[in-house]
Amino acid sequence: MGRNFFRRRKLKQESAEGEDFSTEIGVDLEKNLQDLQTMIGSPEDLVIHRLNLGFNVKAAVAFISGLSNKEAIHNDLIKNLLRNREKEAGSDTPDELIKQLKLDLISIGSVEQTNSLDKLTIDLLSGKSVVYVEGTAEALLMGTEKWETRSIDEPISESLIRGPREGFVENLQTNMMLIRRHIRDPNLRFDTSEVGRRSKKKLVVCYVDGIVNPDMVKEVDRRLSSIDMDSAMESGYIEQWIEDSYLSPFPQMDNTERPDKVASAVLQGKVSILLDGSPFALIAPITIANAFKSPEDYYDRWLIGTFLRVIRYIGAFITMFLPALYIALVSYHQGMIPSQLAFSIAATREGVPFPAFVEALIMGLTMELLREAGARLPRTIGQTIGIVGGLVIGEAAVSAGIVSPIMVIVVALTAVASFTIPLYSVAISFRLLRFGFMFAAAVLGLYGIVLVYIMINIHIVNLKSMGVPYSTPFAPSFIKDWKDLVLRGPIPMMNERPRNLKPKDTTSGNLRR
Amino acid sequence: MSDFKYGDETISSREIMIALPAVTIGVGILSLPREIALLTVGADGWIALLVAGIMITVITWMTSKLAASYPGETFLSYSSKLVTKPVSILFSLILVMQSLLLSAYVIRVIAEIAKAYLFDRTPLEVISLTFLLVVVYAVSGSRAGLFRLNMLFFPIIVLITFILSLFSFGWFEMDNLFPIFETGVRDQIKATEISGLAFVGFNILFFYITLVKDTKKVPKASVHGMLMVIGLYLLIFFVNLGVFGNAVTGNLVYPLIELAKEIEIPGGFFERFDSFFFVIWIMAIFNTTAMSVDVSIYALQPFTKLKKQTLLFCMAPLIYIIGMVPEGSIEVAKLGTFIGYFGIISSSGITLILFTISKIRRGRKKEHAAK
Amino acid sequence: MQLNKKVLVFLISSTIFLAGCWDRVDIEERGFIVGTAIDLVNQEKENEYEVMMTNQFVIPSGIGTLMQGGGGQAFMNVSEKGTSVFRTNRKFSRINSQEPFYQHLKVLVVSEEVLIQPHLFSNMMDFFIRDHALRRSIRLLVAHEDAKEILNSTPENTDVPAMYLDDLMENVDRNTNTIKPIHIGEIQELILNQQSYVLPVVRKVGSMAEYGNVVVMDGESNQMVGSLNEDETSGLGFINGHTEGGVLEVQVDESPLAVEITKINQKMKITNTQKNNVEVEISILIDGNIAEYFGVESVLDEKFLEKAEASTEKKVKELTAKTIKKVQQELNTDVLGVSKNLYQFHYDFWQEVKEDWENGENYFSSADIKINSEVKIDRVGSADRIKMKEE
Repeated sequence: MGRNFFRRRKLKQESAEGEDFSTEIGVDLEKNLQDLQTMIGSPEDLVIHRLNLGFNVKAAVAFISGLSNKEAIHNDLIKNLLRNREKEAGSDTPDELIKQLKLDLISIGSVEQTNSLDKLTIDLLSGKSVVYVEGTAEALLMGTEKWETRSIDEPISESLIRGPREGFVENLQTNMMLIRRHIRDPNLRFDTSEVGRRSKKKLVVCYVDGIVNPDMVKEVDRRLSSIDMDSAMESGYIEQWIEDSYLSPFPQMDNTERPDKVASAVLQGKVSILLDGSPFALIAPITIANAFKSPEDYYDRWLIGTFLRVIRYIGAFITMFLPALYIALVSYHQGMIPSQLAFSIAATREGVPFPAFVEALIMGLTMELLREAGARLPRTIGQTIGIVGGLVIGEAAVSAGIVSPIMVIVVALTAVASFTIPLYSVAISFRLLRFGFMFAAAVLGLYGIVLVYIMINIHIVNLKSMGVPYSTPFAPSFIKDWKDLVLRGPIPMMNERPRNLKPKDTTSGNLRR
Repeated sequence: MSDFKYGDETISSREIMIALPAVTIGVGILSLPREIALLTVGADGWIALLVAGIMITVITWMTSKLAASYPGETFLSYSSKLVTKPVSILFSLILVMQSLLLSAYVIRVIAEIAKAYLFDRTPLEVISLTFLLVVVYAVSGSRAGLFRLNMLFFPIIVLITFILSLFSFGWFEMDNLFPIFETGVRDQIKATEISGLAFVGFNILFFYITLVKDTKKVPKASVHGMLMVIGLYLLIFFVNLGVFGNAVTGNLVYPLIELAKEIEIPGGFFERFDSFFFVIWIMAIFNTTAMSVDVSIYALQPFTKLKKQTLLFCMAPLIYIIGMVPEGSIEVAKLGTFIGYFGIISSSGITLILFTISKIRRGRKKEHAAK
Repeated sequence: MQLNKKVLVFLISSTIFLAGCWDRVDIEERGFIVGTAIDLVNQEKENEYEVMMTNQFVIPSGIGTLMQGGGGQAFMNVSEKGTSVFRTNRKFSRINSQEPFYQHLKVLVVSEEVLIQPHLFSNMMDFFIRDHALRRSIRLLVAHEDAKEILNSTPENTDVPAMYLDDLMENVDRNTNTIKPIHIGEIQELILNQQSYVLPVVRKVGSMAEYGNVVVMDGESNQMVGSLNEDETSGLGFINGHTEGGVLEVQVDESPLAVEITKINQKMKITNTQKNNVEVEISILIDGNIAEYFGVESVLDEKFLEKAEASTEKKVKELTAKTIKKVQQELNTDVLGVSKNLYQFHYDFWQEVKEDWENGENYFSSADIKINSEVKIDRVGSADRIKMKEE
């Protein structure tokens, strides 16, 4: 019994892996249907519709009810098959019959013929419907995929004041459509592959042929082909599998819900990866400068765009350095604080039992807790938690003498500043690094801060994203790229694609020199 | 479109141009105005500084010309063609020594200054060690990464120097620069000698030019790099003299940092700009150290056949110990002067010897060809 | 393997951080010193003096914050005796729970008694210049009597006397008979250059402090040789630019006229460099406005302005002549900056006369110093006159 059980499990595994089980379709209809049912375990949503094509030629239609367009199956497939049975010539062999069905009868856009049970099963499970005909080892696969999807919404994680309001959805086809609507270039490529041993999800590599450096696409393909996992629930799985360094606190790929962002990235010569079932597209390569770029920079006039960017750089510095600076100044270098302010800080800190580091740590952690709590709760309650928590805890902590009022200002400013960074994943790493800076400041004051700053720089210059140095175009410097770095030059001036991506075609627009 | 991936170990001439000032500018300039002012009258020291700078620039040009005329060859390989193999090994070791001593000296000096301006009780050893560990971390990464670090930090150094000079304007008195042209020739020569010491660092060219893609542009780039150093040094010197006058400059241990202390930035959040300035300057010092450690590792590698990281972990304690040997700031200063002389004499000497020999050889070859 | 090594290195380096925090002193544990006074107690031996150092500590809770006003006294003066500043300074930590912290030191008051002793002043200053942590902008004042009394002057609207003194010195440009405040950085320059110099005096008037005239210090021994009164101080200000502006009262046709000086420029030129007959020409250019006029003439009248300018010029000449006479004849110290000018522009000649400038042959006293002053009155204010001429 035990042995039997073991064998069955092994068998099942083998069949699921689909390596030894590439049984071809046979000529016996009932056997075929049985094979199919064994293969996927005869689930409830598998619908098998047996019918007669006349002259006693038996046939069957199979589909998964939730994934297929039932209306299309009934109207365009089954009705046609039944209505036209009188016309069928009895002399036809089943092989010819099935060809005829494909060419003459079925009025569904995509029809495929296959003899592999393996392919048939996977296609069936992705929503296609199957037609078997007695006496032939071929089956027809009809593109009848249709399932419930979310409608196109405004991207929640990246809302802009000015810019398109559409965001990606979970449906790959819709997402591709959204990108195509931005770029009608015939060179826009969507290279499809499958990912996940078990999930067999569709994954699309999107780029513009003739702009992108071909080596970059090769590199992306090489990395994607190395993926070996059961399933990718979200594009984050893909990102983490193919990123250059998993030890780095910095993300090496951008993710976005915005089709316009993807479109502009592929037009610059980048590569985007879309995964079925995920509304987040990946963009690679990115550099540290991308953390401060938002699509809105380009939608507003250049002066405003530049201003916003400078604000973000300042915000990033505040996020990382301010609490650490507070600790360093209050615990080590009191001489650097202007006298009046120093006395006032000293007065407010009198009675605070903790050193500045602990004080900053308490408030910093509280802030992170509040943020996490706000993110987990339903949105309406989440906002309340933020306000109530922030105000009440801050106020209470000050009056209880646990922290000084200046600390509350520092923490609040830091929190606000961290929201200015458009790339959420980078903002998180900055917040994380902030604690490193605080620790260094607590141990070695300003000296510690600058050493950690140097270390982060060392890390950044050694980090790569898809083989492109993370610190470019600062260093290795591409001075021509600097007009879209901290500054955002006027649109007519930005007539060249970023050199750091080594694009095939460097000039964008018609302003060729 | 041949090469998409950035060839990791190749660098461009522009990076050499930045690396040169990044290595040269470090701790030397912090005290240089004092040493010059002590020997000269008024602001006459600029002549010494300029002369020394131009001389070093010429030698730098020769070094890079020499190395660039053997593209793709390591120092050992081209120098053993010119002089014999044993001599070239000796040269190589001298240059390694120079870099090692320089890095040891720098990690010591940084601790001394940090103790003066940032800390009271933190032990020297800890300040040096933490700094050295960061350097080790940098060197254990890619070599191209180090050059990128130069590119990232050097503009910050230039910027902070300009900010300092700009804000010093309110304290600048033209009168302090007078009298002019009153220094004796002997003092000028002595000052030139002293100034030369602050230009140590161009020996990296012997080794790194091998890695450069566009070798032809290197001599020009390195001259530009050195000119940047001269410009920055002259600016610092003049601002120092203009603000403090000769007597005070000559009596401040680190006139450049004191300059930052003297000025008050209007509406500034920081009152003591000196601490802040020094903290920024640590990046310049870091560049010097990281590059010298890396060049010594790079030059030593052919002898030991060890992996870069292994060699680094062997050298780092050595550097640390050498740095901790001098007792007291006087001995540190002595070590500094020694390293300056040793560095300038050895690297200039090696350059001159190799350059002359290679010129003579080439000349002969041409003669042969003519015949 | 690679990873393990990295982890190892990280762990080793992190032990340093665990041992850190040598210098950590939180801000509330610092005893902020904002003012220091130095008095002489007695002379023990030749060149060895016992001095009393009074430090003014700020009590931050006394000052209060923006949110709540302070209560109680905002400062505390602690005195200690000793033979060197550094040692005396160390004693403070014995009596005060907070660590003395000099980085916010604003004002240093030195009593005249200290200044009179040769070399004592420069020795005292050494501590304040040498410490890297001290600012170069600490301002220096001289007290006629006890220096520590000055640190007790608290007018109604201020909390901390030293801060009050510091603010007081910001206002010097309203007054001609005071000089620009001198800070420690400049003192270093003056002591090193061995030029004679002046230091400003502060006087206690009731609960207030008054910033006034100057004392004259000899450049070589750094010893006080005398003092200038208010007129002489303003004369000095015109000569060497110690004054930035202020109000000058002159008489025009027997009616008092106050000229507000907006700009002073002086130019010193040495016209003759013979040892016994050094000729110095100082031209002073003054821009001013009419601030107050008691007379009845029309101030818009060109002639009147010319008269006013002429009498201002006369006044400036009078003031400067007094000063020159005093420093040349009586004090015999070159605080006018002639020696600096000689050094800068007549270096060779200066090398010759250096030794005999203020001492020995005393070339300074015999120098012929001429003053040219030129006054320009730009604006006359918004009113012509407030009363009409009585016909």
